[in-house]
Amino acid sequence: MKKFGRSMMTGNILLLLGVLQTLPISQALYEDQIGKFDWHQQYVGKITDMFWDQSFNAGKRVLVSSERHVLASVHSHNGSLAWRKVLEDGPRGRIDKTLHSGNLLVTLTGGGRFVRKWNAGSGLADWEVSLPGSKSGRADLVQCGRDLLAVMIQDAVYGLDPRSGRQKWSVALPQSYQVVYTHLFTSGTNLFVIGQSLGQQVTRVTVDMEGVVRSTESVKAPWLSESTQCEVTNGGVLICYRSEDQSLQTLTLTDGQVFKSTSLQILGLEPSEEISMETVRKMEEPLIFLRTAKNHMALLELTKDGVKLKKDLPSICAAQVVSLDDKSMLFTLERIPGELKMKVYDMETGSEMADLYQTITYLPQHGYPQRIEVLMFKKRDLRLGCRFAILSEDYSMQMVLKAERDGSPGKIAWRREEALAYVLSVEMIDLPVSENQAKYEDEFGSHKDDIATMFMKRFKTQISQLKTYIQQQLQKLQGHRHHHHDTEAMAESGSDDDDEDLTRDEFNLNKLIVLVTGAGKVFGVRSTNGHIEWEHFFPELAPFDGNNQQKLLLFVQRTTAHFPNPPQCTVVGKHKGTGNGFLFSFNPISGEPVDTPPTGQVLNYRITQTSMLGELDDHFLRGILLMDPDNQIHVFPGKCLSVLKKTFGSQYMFVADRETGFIKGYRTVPNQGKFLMENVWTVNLQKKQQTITQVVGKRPLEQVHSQGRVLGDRSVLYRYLNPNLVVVVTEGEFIEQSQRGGVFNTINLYLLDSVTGHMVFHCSHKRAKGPITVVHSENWVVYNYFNQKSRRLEMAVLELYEGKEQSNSTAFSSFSSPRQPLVLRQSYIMPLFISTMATTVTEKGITSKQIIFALKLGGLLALPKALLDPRRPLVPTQETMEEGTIPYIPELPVNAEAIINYNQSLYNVQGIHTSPAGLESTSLVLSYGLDLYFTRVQPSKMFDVLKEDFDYFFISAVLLGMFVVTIATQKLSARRALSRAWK
Amino acid sequence: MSAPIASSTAAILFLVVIGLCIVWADDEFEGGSRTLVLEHSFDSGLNPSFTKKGMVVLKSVKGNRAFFSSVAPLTSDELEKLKMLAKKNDIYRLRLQTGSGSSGEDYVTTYTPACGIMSSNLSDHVWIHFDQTGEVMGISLETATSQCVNGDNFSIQDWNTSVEVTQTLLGPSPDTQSYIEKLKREEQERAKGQTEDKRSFLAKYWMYIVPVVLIMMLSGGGDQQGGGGGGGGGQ
Repeated sequence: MKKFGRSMMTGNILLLLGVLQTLPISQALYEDQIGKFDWHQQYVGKITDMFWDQSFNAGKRVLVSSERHVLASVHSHNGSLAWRKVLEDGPRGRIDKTLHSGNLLVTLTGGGRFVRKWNAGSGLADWEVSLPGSKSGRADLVQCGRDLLAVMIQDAVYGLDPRSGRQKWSVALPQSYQVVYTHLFTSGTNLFVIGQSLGQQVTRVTVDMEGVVRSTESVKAPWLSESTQCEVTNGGVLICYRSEDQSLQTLTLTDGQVFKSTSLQILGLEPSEEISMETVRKMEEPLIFLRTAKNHMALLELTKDGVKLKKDLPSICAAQVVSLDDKSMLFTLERIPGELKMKVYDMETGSEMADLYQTITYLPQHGYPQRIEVLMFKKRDLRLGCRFAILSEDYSMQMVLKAERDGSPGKIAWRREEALAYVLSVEMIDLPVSENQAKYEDEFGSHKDDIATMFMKRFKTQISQLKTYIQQQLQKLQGHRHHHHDTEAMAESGSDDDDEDLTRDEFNLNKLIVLVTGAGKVFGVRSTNGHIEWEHFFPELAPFDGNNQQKLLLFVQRTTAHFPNPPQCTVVGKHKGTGNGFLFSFNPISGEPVDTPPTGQVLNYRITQTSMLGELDDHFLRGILLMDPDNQIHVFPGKCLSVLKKTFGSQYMFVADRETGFIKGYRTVPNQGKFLMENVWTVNLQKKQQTITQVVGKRPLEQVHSQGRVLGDRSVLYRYLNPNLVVVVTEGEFIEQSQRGGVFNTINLYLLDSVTGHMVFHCSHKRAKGPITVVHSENWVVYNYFNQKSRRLEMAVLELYEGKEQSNSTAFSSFSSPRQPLVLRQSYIMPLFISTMATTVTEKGITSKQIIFALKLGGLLALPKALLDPRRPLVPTQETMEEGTIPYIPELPVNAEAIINYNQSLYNVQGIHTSPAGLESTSLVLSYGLDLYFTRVQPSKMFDVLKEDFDYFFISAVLLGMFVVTIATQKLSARRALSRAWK
Repeated sequence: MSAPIASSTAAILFLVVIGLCIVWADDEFEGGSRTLVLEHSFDSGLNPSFTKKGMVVLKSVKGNRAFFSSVAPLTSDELEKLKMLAKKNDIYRLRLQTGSGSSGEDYVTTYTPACGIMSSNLSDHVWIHFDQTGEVMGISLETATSQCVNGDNFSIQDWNTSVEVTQTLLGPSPDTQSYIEKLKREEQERAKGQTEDKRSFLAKYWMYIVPVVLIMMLSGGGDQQGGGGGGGGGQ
């Protein structure tokens, strides 16, 4: 690749530059445009650990670590991130343990592969130690006094110096009886390593602070199974919960020889499916929380004789024990409608501390609180005060500072919606037209009114139009100063109150973005500033998953265009408990539920495939077809069944089965009043050799402006625009038969017609590896793969053409279309690694397309589709120059000006959603993943908007002048003709 | 003496012919070809029963050489069924056996509107899609038209089936080789151009010199305009 870089310089640069110059590659912003129409939100993901910062910024920040491999520090006054570290992708970056005490912040990641000490104030890494990593994936980390950090992996225990990370000693662990080491614990001057051998025993290795093994003992535990949960509590007690007979097994680590069993019934607790244990930190006594339900906990005390119930906490959903000075307190949270009740108990006496009792306003859309993290402090008047963070079921983090007056409910100071780091589906919905225009529509929309009512309507509309006009003029007169004052006030009070009405702007650039997240939460977000307009939480909604891909479907059943019918969207997912279908239908603008109950509708069947009806019903609603495992078709909502009755002959579906490698096509047939899907075609993709990893269709109702492509000789190459075409990608391995041998990966691409099952084109790449992203639009497919031979990322493009003649210019039919279109193909070298890509979409499809790549480096790179054109000629001729193709260069150019998110790096981008705006030149882009980033792109620059410095006066003067001249000359010539006629 | 030579040349010739035959016969399949059983169905409903339509004799996948051999013409019963299907706008199904045929998993299936079969007079075109190892992945059916025509007095009973085979192609890869060659060639040409350019100074740069001279002449001419005019008058 280096060679290319150099040879490119010496190449026929002038010509290339000339052609490249004509392409609108540059997208760069001016400095003052930053943040004008783009916004960026940073998230950390579902928080797994949370600590109040005890170092430099004690009490001012909260340190969090998340399951999305993020370590971050959150300002406690406004919830913004002080710093954020995104660790490696994949299992290498998984955080096994986070440890924070005093100035020390240490993480253990990647199954014991990396130990890193962080500076809690700045987020910089102080040191990093790399260890061999644990084969079992289990690793643990504890601090022993001031001078020792002990790290346990499957093979050994390491002693590290907390100041430098220097390894002090290491001890190998015995590896017999299929032992898996799970816990490391320190008590007094000894370290205890706990290992479990399923169905056999628990191994306890005692190591002293100098790294010498004191003893290795085993305790019989034949009941250990996969589902057994074990925890080590302070005070050195190992406690295991057996779900088979609902009993707790305890073992004192220092001297215990046998497990003591206590059943839940004896404790008076109700056994349930979802029992879990939560350790109590910062306490000397062996205590543990047992959670039997989302809102039932119990505090257990572990004694030599077994388990004792210290306090039953019915209807409590989160609890924590906190100590200040030498007093320990138990904080509990109870959820009642609209509020949380916080009660505090003294641990010694068990009595409630009334002065800390608080109620907190709490919205139901956050589900049950799951954890609290309390910071206790003494106020100036020596009374106790506290602030605490709540982690809820919907992945949100909320901060309660304090009640302003005693007795008034505490307020949530801020909240972080971490569910937004799990976006799975996106749609951008047009905002409704303003009230006036709505009335206007209303006036002409209904046909039943008589003349009098129509006149009244007309009159009213005009009055209100006049009123708004006057209001606008008044506002203009009042000027901008007032407005400025407002914005300052807004900045202080927070972000919720500043939003104007949700009405459409002149160019329909502002939308409402509907985000469906894997956490089961659905958001409506303004595209102008990213503020949340409404949210719904469904604890029972789970995504469909297969092949490590999670999917939640979002259908737009009715757009905003059909006033007075409100727009409607539907989320289709899976019920967590039963696996059956789960639907929720809502108005995307207001967020109000429609057709389904507010808690969502659980179906009584599983969903194997979904699709949308081809035609709208009388109220412009597009029904959703749901296919169950018995191949029966259900229509949602039920009122759209009449549409299916009319159009079932053209409803086709297909199901790609990853397990068997079969793709089956179905047509709809009526059967005894119901509709069934009948298998009509089958394709066998040979499961033995490969696995289906992607099935990518086109965006439904895609607008394609041009039917063909004009070539250099002025003939037209017609595009193959098959709306039923889907791309199926499979990945497999093959064993090479050459001398070197070895196993190589291969990817195959199939272009299938989903109605007839015809394979329009199929090709394979040997020695190529995924992950593959496919962009499928118009008549082309762009996909990327990793070339194992050349060790580089390549970007391939397929373009399909019918040829010089078009088969049917009015409608496309899969039955009568050409079966083997011309497939032009070419491949390019992508110099940077990408995580995903997408193409821009515009209103009418006239604007040329751009492809937006999410780079692993954090940028969003927008390249014109013309660079990924299979017709780029190696040697440019007069004809190709006429056609406007760029001469072929194997490497795609990466231009810093084509990075549309300038310096706002985006991590772990999962997808990019593009949507048309009202302006043909503009496409809206939302990138989601760990971060949300929204911006606009203009692939062909702003050809449909006049520039700001457009000289209206000059143009009108010229126009007027020409008009006058025309009239004058006309008069003159008429007079002349007359006088000539008289001669 | 001559007889053994003749017989040995004959033997060699014979061997050569056999060798040629082996070379000519496709080495893709043992015995030169592979046959696949094609079945069709005129039933409507969820569990159609299939009958044998014919055999596909596959000579070469790469060379796209495959032939269809019909087993029997359409029976009158089947013809009636086909007419019924066309009338109901139903479908005509086709399937190809890929495995032992014991379960549904051993077939790949396809269909086309029965109207299309009728209106194109029982002439259909079958596509069989193979992967690179020669396994059948799919089958599809094409007719000249899929429009419905009045088929009451339709009586053709002989199939006119053609078969076409496609195999997975090799995907595109970046054409670095020819690009480098192109660059080298250009470089060479340039080098050649530089060495060969031994024209005189005037020949090389006339295009710069001429405008300069012209401009100088024109600007000089302006000054002398009066004089020139006067001279003209004198004549």
